[in-house]
Amino acid sequence: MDTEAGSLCRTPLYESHLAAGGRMVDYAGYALPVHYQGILQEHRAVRTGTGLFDVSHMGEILLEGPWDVLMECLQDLLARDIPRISMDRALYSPMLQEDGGTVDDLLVYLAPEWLASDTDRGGPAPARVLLVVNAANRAKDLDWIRSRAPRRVRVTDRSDDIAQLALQGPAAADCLSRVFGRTDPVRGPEAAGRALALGSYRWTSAFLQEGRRIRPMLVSRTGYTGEDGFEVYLSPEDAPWLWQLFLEAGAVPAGLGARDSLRFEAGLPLYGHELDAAITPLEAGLDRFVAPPGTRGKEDCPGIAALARPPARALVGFACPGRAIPRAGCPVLHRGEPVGHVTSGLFAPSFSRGLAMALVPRALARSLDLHNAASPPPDASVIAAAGFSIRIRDRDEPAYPVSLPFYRRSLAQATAFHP
Amino acid sequence: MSHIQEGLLYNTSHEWVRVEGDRAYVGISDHAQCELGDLVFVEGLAPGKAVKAGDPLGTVESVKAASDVFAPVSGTVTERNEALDAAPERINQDPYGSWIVALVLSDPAELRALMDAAAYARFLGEA
Repeated sequence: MDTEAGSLCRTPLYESHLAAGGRMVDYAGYALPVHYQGILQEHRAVRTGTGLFDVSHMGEILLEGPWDVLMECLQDLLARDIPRISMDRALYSPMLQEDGGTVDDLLVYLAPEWLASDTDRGGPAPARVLLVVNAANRAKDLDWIRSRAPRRVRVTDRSDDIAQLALQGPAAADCLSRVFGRTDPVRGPEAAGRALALGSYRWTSAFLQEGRRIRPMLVSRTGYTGEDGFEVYLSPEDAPWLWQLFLEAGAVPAGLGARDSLRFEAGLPLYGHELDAAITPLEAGLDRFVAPPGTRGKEDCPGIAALARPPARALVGFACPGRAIPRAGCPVLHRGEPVGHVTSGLFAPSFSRGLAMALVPRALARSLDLHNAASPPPDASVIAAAGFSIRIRDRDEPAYPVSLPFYRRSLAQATAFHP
Repeated sequence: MSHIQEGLLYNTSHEWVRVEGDRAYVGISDHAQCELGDLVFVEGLAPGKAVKAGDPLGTVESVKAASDVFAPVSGTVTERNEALDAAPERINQDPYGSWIVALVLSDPAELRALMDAAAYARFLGEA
């Protein structure tokens, strides 16, 4: 339970977290709040209003080079087919090992000009791409990319130059609009209008002026909570300022605990749990982010060929009707025989019960009668007939398969912001 | 800064003991509940089980993680606090009013190895 906060990296919002009562823990070498008032309250704030997360620990790797060379480099590095990238899209993609295992999962942005390396001088302006990677994988990803990128692509670690706030929840758009409008009455409303008009996984640049200072930011309609929301990339010096403005506009600060419970309910993978060097994106159910074998332009992407075979395992959701809570690593049994393990398991606040994601053999996963996490558990006889249990602290607790994601926002909510 | 209640005994893994005759009621300290966050599941050993000091005595779980509760003293479980089954959050609200299990002490001399409130405050660096 002891954390040596002194030896950890601090995000630009470290003091803001302490001021908000954050309980600081070590996460990937960063001192970050696991919660402020409590995970349950913060989780609820994001599901019903607006939550605010500091995600400045995420790694940002900038790739710069001639357009064609850069695009070919991305095609070889990333599992997804990239040519469809357009200026305003944020693309999610796994990065593959030769054997189809996962190096990392990341977001790709065509980087705006203000993120260019400051040492850039002369010659034709290069194309720029920003890869947003998991903090724990930053060093590994840099090595991986540097050893594979062609010489004409320059690879720079910009993680320490870029802070990131995530404003998430059904009221996030209102909150962002108020903050932008009030801060910069001239540019703010127009920037807010553009941000609010963004479709899911689109981004725009915003330049807010306060006093004589112009603060550039990249505003992206993305998130990791299963709700509407925005991720804002900006300079570390500007992060405490924007954090404070969002809080004043009613956003509730939310920590890593709620970030995990929210992404879990939304069925979003977490590297190290649902994805890792030994888990392929297909096993994790990310088929739509992997180019099918034979895709033109992906011939030199390692891992794609290995993923031509059907995956051995599949990710399945489970619910436990008892009170015990399944946790990562717990064995999953079918008719008493171990068949897999829980990748993430926790008390899901939206359902007030223990839920799990687990990797089990694909043949078993395909024949399941899936229930709904939001419905009451089926009869004990139905659960027993299906034959699943999860071993929690040496006890085999009955479990039954439920569909993923556990949580989906209502269609009305999902479409309200995107006419 | 967490609350430390006078009149209780504490150990270094943040359990407390309230002694009443040969009975010992065991719970977790305010510091521990703060560190764990919102509790969503509590389970103490069933009555009749004998434990030695340092053995697991039960489990408390937050949204994110499960933690063992250790026996500060040796004894036999006489009762578990069933009121916590439906309302584990009581530990967050009132950690010193929410005992998890009661034991009959098998070696009352072990109590001398525990810390009083002042010593526990020093241990937490809050004195």
